[in-house]
Amino acid sequence: MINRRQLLLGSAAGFVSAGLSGRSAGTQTAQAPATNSSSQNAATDRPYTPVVTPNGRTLPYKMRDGVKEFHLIAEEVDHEFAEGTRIKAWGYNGSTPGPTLEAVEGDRVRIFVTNRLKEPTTVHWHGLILPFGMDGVAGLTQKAIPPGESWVYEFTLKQHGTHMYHPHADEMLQMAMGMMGMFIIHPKQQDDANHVDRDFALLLHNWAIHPGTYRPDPSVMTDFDLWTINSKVFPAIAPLLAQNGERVRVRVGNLSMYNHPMHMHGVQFDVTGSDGGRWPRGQWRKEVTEIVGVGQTRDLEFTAVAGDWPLHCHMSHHTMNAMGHELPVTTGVDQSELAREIRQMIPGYMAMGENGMSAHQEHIDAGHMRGPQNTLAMMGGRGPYGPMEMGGMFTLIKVRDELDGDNDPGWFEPPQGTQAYRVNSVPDDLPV
Amino acid sequence: MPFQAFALLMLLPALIACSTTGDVMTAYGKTDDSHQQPLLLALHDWSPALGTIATRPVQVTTDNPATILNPAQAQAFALQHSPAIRSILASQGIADADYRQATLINNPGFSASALRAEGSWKTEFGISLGILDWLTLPMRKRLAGAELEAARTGALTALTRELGAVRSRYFAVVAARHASRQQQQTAEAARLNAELARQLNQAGNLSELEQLRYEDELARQQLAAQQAITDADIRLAELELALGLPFNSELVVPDALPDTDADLLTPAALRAILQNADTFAALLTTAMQQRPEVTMMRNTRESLERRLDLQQKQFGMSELGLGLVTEREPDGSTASGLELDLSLPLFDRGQHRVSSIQSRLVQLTADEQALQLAIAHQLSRNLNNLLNLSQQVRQLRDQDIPRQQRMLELVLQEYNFMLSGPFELISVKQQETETVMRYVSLLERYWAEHADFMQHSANTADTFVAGLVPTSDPSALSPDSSSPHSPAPHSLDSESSNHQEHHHD
Repeated sequence: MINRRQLLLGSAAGFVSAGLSGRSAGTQTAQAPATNSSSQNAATDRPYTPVVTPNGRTLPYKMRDGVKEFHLIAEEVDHEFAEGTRIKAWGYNGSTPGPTLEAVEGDRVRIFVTNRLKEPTTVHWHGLILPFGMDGVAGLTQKAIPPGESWVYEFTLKQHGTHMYHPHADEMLQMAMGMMGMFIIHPKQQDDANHVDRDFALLLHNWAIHPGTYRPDPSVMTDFDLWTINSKVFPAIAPLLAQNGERVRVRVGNLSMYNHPMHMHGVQFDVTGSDGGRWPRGQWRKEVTEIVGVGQTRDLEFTAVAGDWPLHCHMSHHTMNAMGHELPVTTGVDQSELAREIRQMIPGYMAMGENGMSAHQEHIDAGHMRGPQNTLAMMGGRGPYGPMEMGGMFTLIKVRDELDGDNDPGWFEPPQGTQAYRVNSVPDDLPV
Repeated sequence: MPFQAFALLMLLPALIACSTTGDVMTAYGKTDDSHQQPLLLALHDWSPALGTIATRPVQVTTDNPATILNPAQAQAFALQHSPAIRSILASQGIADADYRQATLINNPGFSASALRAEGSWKTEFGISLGILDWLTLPMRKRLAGAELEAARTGALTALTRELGAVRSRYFAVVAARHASRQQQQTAEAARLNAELARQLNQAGNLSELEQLRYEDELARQQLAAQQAITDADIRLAELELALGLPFNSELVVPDALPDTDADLLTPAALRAILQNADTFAALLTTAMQQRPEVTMMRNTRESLERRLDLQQKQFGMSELGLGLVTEREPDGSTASGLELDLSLPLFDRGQHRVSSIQSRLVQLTADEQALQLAIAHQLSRNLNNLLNLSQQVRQLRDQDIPRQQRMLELVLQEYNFMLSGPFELISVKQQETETVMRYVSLLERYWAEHADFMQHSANTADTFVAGLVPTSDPSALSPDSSSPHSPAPHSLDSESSNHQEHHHD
């Protein structure tokens, strides 16, 4: 039986081709695995470290007459953000985001695009330097691809860097529906001095999936319900795995409608590149939070340190799942007697928020508070010590001395003496 | 003298025979309840339908009114205890006495005179009796009977109207209690919102302006709730009055209107009556046979026809008398003989009376036709309104209210996931109670229309509609709504889903 890694390697060597037509994985996205769906093992025989797309995959290609041929199929997909929330999304090749395209600077690429949607589409190669007629802007650089037709984009990659692709036809709706993907171009000249052992691609997005609905609402501009990394929400986002001391690159692209200050725990990372490619070493800067603006990409590099380190957007609402935005503040309000009276009228009513919102996840996890259909609770995820009270754009970078392949290593156990602990008293002489 | 004595002796038995020696003082005039029974029993003869009501077993008594009342019992109770209804019944005693009076012949006239002439007295005695009275007595009896029937019909009309009013008032008070209960729910929802707002304001989480908005809504709802209580009390008092009970009688009525499929006429049945000409004609025929005012017209017609017949048989004579005269002459001799007294029909031969009666008969024919047309329109309007209301009631009961309840469930789910707030949740509950109030209002209109329909179709049994619909599903037709109200399958008010009856405080 061929495994995912063999598939990846085989495709890179040009032996695996599922054909240029009808190769969609169907309309089912894969369940979020314990780890990434593509191997996170960095060992390859290629001159670059392949990109790993957590919860996603890299699109195989076929080499034909010196040209790398890819096939993207625009279609409706059945997508799951996390267990309990599925939607009818639009994507490519059976998933949102679409598979990551990966090539090398100087490659000639021929990308077949088949439109299985019921409306025209195009693919815009975001940030790529290419002939005008290949830019994929409906009505401007080409006629939009009608439903049922296949068109070809063909150009030579004149740059390297972290890029994206998305439709430029009915763009507002088609992007809101999930049509997007990453396009990674490795430098032709590998920089051995700055070699990375692990290379991850994360694509940020936002979704208006109103409670109880199954299709994104493209008219929403600000109050989104779900904030995703590779179209998944925590805790369904696969963790990024690395070994202690490895050099890791996290490529972050943003096709949402907000800027996202991406914050990484445990390390100071170097911002080493963007859509413009890999920056000269002298332009790198140390950060712990980097704003990835709308339509931008950033490359964040660091040396892995053992632990389970969060990587998340620092807009705290972006690390929540669906939540109301005009709720009365109940903090500090003892509703116990009033709640009893309200229950007389509305059985099942429960007062919430008197002491904060932490209790919310406990109630949800206890299962006695039913929510709307197809709707994730505002916060979730459990760590080894209790509720993590997170959702949305939040994931973990799990670093161990040694990994067991792509298997999730479980929870990190802090070495003795390196963990916060409880005290019975606080010295009186401390200034407060 | 022997002749005189003989003549007088011959007349006396006849006179006595013609007099009415029966007891004209019947129970009609008596006010004692114990004498009411004969009246109620007599109702059977006048109107079997009313008689059935009158003899229904009544659980409610003046000593123990604290029993669940239903519209049929209310009507029976009113027939047996309402002074207003007793008054109507008593008026029948008067009519009956008048009838008996009308069937007597006039007393014979007796005259005596003494004249002094030339020093001696001349005396004269006479007895006279109207011959026309004798001749027309059977006809006059029939005429009086017709008039009695007319009076009785008038009383039945009044009784029917009173009983219809009792039925209407019964449903009005139940509706008011039902609405009041829902209004209390709405006010309670507003109170909870206001209390929550107060607590949030105290905690510094809500502005005074926002809090006052909730207070304002609470004040509005509380006023409405108080008004609803008062309305229910007033309507109960009106029902007590109609029943002949004193104010604050502790009368008990349900606090929810009948609303199950078994209680309500189905749109299909109503449509069948409206759209099927034969069925509607049967309904109209029944009404024409039973409606008191139609009966009254029929009686009036008979009366006029008899009157016309009487006029024609009097040959224009308005007076005709036969007398026995005895005269004693001054010389002591006596002379006796018969006397005939009549008005000669030379000028007034009663033409104007005949003409008047004939015109009234023509007028009556037109009135009957107009009445039939009016009744047909009344029934058509009733049925159309009932059809519309029946559909609306069902829509609210089966769709709108369950939808509101489902919305409440969904908002509660959103509240659980902090997608909606408590104010919104409680407001949705308030909307649900307001929808139930609209439903109660429609139900009240339905039952008021139903009471009108019963009255206009001259039926007292709620089941009669079933007999009109040729091939309908009997279960879809209304059974006797006098059965105690059983709650609908779904509970429209979770707090009091068993529709308990409450004492009127």
